[in-house]
Amino acid sequence: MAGGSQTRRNEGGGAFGGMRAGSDQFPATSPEWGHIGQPEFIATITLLIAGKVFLTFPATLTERAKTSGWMVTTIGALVAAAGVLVIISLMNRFPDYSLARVSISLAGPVIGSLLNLALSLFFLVLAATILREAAETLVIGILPTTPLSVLVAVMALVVAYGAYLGIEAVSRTVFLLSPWLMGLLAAIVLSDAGFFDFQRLLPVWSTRPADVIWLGVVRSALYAEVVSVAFLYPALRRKRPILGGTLLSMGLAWVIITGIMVSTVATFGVTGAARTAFPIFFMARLIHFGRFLQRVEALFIFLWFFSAALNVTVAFYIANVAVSETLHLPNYRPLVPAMTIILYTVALLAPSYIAVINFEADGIRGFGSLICFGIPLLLMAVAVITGKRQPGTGAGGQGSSGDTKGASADAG
Amino acid sequence: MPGRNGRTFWTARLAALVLVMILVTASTSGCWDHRELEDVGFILALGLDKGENAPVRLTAQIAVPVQIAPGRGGGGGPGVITETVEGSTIDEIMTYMSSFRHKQVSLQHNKIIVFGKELAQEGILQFLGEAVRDREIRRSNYLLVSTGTAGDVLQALSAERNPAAAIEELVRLTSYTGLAPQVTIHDWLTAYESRTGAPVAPVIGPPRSPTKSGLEQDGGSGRGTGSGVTGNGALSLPKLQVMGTAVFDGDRLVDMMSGVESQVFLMMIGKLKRTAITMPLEDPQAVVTVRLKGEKPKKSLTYEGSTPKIKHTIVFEGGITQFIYRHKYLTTQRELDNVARQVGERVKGIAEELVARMQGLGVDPFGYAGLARGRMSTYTEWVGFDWRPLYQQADIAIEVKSFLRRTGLTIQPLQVNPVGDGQEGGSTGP
Repeated sequence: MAGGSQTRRNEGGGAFGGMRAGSDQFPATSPEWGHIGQPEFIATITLLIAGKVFLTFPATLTERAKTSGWMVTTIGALVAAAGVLVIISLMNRFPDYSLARVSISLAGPVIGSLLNLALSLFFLVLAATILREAAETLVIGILPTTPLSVLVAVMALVVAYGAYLGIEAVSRTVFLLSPWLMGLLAAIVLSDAGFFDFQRLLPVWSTRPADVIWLGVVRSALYAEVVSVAFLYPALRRKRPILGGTLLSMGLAWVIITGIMVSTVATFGVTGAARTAFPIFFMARLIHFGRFLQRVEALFIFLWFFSAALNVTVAFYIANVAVSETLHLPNYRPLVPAMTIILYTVALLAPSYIAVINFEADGIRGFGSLICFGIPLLLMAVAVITGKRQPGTGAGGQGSSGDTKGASADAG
Repeated sequence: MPGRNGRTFWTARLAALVLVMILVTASTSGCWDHRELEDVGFILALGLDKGENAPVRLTAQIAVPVQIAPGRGGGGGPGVITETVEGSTIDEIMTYMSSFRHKQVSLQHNKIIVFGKELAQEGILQFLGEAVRDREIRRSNYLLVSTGTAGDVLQALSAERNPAAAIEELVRLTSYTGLAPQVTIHDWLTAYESRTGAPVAPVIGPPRSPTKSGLEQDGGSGRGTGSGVTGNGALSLPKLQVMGTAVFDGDRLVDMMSGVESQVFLMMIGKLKRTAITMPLEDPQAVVTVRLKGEKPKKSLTYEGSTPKIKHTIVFEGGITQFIYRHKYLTTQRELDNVARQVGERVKGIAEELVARMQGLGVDPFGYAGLARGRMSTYTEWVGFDWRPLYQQADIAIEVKSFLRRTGLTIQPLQVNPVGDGQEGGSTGP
């Protein structure tokens, strides 16, 4: 499959066929990007951001935001949208580069490489955390005596295979499965509507408004994965609607995340939702229509496995690409086996599940914005100050295809 | 050479793919978690009582699949084996039980959890709150409180083919009788944690009068709220009955409402689906049975100084199914409204007595605290808010809006021969 992609690209000379050979000390050969269309792009970004709802995220956010969880996710989305504007503006200056190349071009080989490693590490740790959480869900909820290491290893193998195939294969899979995943999620929420008590969402402010707003700003890291746009950007067939597509992805993710926050608190109450390890799994277990339709959570295992596997695959792919570009490798694929072993190891590092969810809540979601929005902001500042652009592009941000001109206008 | 290399490559790739598929299917299809059906003892109902030598005494009804299977008829033995073991935690007892039942005892198919009165009076959270950690216990299990011991409740039906299904059916029927609430573990825990209303549970025990609370001894008189309400205690029910509402203060049982009080209570909280209430009217000769369906009540809260003033409007509508009133009949709207007013006043009386009793206990099963919660500016303020003293001095006004819409399939009475009766029929014959 991957070989096929490469053949088409070499023949067609698409986005990377027109790569300026030798520019910015990079080798003429381009990484194995593949091509993704707008629908696949939107589905991939949406799943990458919103996939966390299946895990412990609704509980950890409720524990911190209480009744204001929906407000925190909304404020976070607005802050993240501002970050998206910066990211897209930056990428329009370098339409054929991924963020890793952009950072080296702007910040130099040493600082740029460090920034890239920070981004790569973020996505690797994110992938390992989701992997561990998904495996723990299976152990705690379904397969209690299956060794955790076996589940992590199996999922890591699936993830490695997906990442090896490339973003084209993964994003198409995401696009094909998204309606099913969203349909099943909606089925769980709607089936439990009888348990909703919206009084449990009162008072709307958990604490002083200023504190809630600040929490929302910090928790913009809930959408930190949107920085992956900067890594998928070169793979897009048409870059014209990139800003709209990214904001649409964020909007869809916001609807899913906020809807889940509201429904879990309305179902379990604040303390109940914060105490429940996997609120959506528990909601699935609550489904009970008389004596004929109950114990249906087995139908939803599909949902957990595929959402987690695809989510981890995309994050793992980006971690690989960031490292390969930092090391100036023409292809990320040789890294996949070694990175898979690292992924497996990191996923099993935490001594307990409590340690994993606290790390995810306070580490990744506490400081993720600094990495995912801070680095592009820093690079954008350097780009504006130095006036640097991708060699060969005009002031309008034209890249190797005319579409990027439109992207610039779109972002502007 | 290239052809051979190509074949080698594809052969290796195919071999790798097959290997991965075998690994994935072998390791994810539950090899570690497989359990043969005959090796598992499925518990269908669980009873928890205060232990004599340990904190808790657990009584479990373990299914005998060969007896419980459909089509077996009644020729075989009982469908369950009932075991009782004492211990510190449910999981400890389950492990111990497995050691002598020759099966892995499992709660995956459990449907009922009954708490004995004595244990419930000491507090059930340490068992119920921890029980939901266990993946095998579902939050959709029905929760009940027995008037005696939970063990006696489970033993009472142990000769049945499927006693747990019988209890489950009794619980389900409360949506028809309205004599008790339907409460699952999820309902109880969310009520406990929300602090907007005291948790409640249905009461299970030997048959008793609908006016008698489960806390009373057999043969005792009904509570004050039962006065004027019919219910001669002659209802003949086999062995067990689900009737009444157990009220908790936190996790401790503090009161049990009678069946009639439960009907009114369910009206008050908007959980009454339908019920039939029988009440005497002002005329001592008249008794009416009305079949009602619940409507959403209206509640509002204002403060007069620091005293909460609550207005609680109960709304119900229904129809008359039985009207025992010698030779009289309801043939005009005015007569119908008059009966509706009298039924409404009876309901109001029971509701007011119920509210006063709960205020005295300091428990708020009506959810008035939720009104106060909506007036808080922040959740932090709500968490630090102490509703109990305010509730106990609150001025709670009950209003009842009752509507009787129809009188059944007959609109005229049976023909009564007034001769020798000394009274005149309420309507003329044909």
